[in-house]
Amino acid sequence: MSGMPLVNNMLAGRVDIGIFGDMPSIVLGSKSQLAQTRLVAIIEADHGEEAVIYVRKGSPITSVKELDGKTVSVPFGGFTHRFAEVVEAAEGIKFNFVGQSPEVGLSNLQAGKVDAFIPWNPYGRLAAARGYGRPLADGTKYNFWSLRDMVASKEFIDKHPDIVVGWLRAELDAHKMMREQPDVCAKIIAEDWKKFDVPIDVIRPDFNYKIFPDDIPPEWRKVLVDGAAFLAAHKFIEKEPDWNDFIDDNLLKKASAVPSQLK
Amino acid sequence: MRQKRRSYPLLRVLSLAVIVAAWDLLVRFRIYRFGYIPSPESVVAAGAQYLTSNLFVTDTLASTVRILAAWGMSALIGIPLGLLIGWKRWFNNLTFPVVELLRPIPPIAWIPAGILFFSQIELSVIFICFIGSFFPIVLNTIVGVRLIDRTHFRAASCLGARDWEVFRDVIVPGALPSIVVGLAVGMGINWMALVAAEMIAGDRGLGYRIWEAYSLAQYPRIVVAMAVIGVIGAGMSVVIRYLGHKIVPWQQSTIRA
Repeated sequence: MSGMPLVNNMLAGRVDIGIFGDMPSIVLGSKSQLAQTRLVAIIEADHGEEAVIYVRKGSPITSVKELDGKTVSVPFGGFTHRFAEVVEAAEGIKFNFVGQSPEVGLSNLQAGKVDAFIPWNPYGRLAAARGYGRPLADGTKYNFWSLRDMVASKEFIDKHPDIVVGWLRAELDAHKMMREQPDVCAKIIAEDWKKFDVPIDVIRPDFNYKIFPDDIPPEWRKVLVDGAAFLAAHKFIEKEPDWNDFIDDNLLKKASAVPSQLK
Repeated sequence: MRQKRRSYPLLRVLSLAVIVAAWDLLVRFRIYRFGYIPSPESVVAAGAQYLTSNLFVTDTLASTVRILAAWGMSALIGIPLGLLIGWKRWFNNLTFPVVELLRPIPPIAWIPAGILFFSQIELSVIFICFIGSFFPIVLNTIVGVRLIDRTHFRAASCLGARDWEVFRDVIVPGALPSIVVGLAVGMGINWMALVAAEMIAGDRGLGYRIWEAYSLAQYPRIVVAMAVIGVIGAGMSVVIRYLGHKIVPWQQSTIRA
């Protein structure tokens, strides 16, 4: 999970607000005895487009079923690991997992040491762009939601509720813009990322499938609860977050009541 | 004449006890940022769970095999290389610059190369550990040859020894004490490189477990795995020193700590 350095920093009390994937935020929420944190908003969601299985270049594999018993690199505990298990269950197959960070998995795919690689972006797109692998299937077929959340420390919320509400108001405005003017937003991001040399064609398609929600609906709470069950089953977390405390949309509701700052 | 050195086992236990007690107090009273460090109790609890699990057995076994393989390869390549570099000037000029150039590169920097170069994940892991132990073994072997008293070489040539006889009777036994030191140091650095090496391991190993525990914020387990590495690493050093003592009984002062 690439969110984990951030989780570690939040547990160490050095960072007050973090934005990361659903799995790291669950890990953070499960450590309430170390640090009290609150999931205050869902920043974006997708219905499986971000969970992509890549097979190596020149692989004869053409269907997910053929991956039965094959070596599959996933970052253990990350959402793509959970996705891989959803695929196993749906297809009635078993992968031979190796737990690797996506950087390591990418090199292993390139070297042909793993049959498939299920990373998060940008590693997946990088694998495809550099020709190390090709996409075989994604989560759209498996009804697989994944989320990116914003989590704030309780201490910070208690001390500076206005800052958090202000941030969330800006977040809601940004969501509205991204829904209604994806071309403008893609341009802004491309401008901002100029030094990374990311072409706008790479940025723009995200807006076709990403959802930028204004609330935390029950079906996405369920994504978090399912994610926690997965982490607990693997003993990656000792206990599930106390959901009633951890998910807190009061500030989000307050932010919704504040008038939009968009001109 | 062998001199009997006194040993104070009580002091050894005491130093450990003081460290643990200080750790406990610093965490308990949350002095500076110690409140964020796992307490001895939580580590003991995590230890009780981990050390009685199959995971512990497979991790320890996997890491030990990797370390021994890497160390064996380092010795197999490093000792002959070091002997030749120390002995023959032309060979020194031929190879030593390369050794010196590669030596400062940290094992972790070799990860991508290790992954791409070897066909098996296991070999990549062993390679990263190998990088750790190879250079201390080479360098100590070179030093061992350099430290041989020049008169031994002169005596050998006066007695009509040929090159390979000098190698067998002067170079190898003369460098042996230093080689043993290199082997012990190399073993230590092998363990130090383990976490970097096992980041790419995929499913088992003490270093892998530390990496996994870090990426899941399971801090007490990290400390348990650290302690296991400490204990096994120290145990192996004791074994190497003991064997070294058996091999070169005339030079024990360089070997004993």
